Amino acid sequence: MNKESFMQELARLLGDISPQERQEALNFYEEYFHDAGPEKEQEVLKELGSPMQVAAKIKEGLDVTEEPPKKHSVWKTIGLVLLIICYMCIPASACICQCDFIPADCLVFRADFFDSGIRCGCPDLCALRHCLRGDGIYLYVFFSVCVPDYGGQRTYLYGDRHTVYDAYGVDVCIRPAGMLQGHCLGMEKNLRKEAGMKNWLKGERASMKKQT
Amino acid sequence: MVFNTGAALLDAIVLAVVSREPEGTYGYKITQDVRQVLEVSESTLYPVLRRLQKDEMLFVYDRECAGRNRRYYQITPTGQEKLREYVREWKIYSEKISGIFEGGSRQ
Repeated sequence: MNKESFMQELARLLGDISPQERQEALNFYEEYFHDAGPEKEQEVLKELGSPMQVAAKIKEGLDVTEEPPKKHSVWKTIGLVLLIICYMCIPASACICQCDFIPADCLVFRADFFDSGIRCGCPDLCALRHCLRGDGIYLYVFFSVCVPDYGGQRTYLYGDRHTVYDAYGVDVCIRPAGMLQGHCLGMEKNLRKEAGMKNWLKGERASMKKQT
Repeated sequence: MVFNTGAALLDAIVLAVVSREPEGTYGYKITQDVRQVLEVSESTLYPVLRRLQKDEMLFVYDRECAGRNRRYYQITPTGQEKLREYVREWKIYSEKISGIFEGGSRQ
């Protein structure tokens, strides 16, 4: 067996768990093989055991009672109201922006850890969670967190759809690879220009329409 | 190793390993670090990391590394609190056991 056949078999065996959980586990093992390096592939395969054993362990660790977040079609209206509430909840250094890959279905929240001086797992995100989660209505949000890099460069940390969901109880949208950083920087610039959140959001929407 | 490792001890070791890296650390490295002190299968760590993440002990983020994303795990304040608790408990537990092994006249 090689890595490819292992991964394929694992994906097949995880067919009965939620797509997010499956993807999460597959990503982990994909990365694991990558980090171990091709020369250790056989060693890792031997250590991991059969895909069946690995799948069994993954499933054992899952909480079967866990329900996926409910999706509401009315979110757009309520979303905007919540958005404004959120704007008041989060510090001035945080910004809110809309993703352009799931039209009107997804919002990006960016808490600036650099300015607030708070690191990951910070109360900012907890506050967001608190104000975003009301009566079973989930906004589609995406957290990207800008922090100063340890080498003086800025690094963008972000949680994906379901890591953020797990950690903060907020459903998030899916990011196409590589778009976040540029997008985030653009938004930062926009935010400075705009006096108010509403105007800024309107502008983002208009530019999104132009693009599509 | 002749002794069994319970889930709590494994959690504690994973939290300790992750907490050593202020910037966070990634799956492969965590596994290797844990395996230096415990004989656990490589497949044991993923469910543990996933659970600790769900319990808000660990925070994850992806960082681009050589053209691909690598997932990093970082300890949360809740995780740090839990780790301190584990360390306290471990101290009491291991001292009691050592006491018995080394003469049994401690109490």
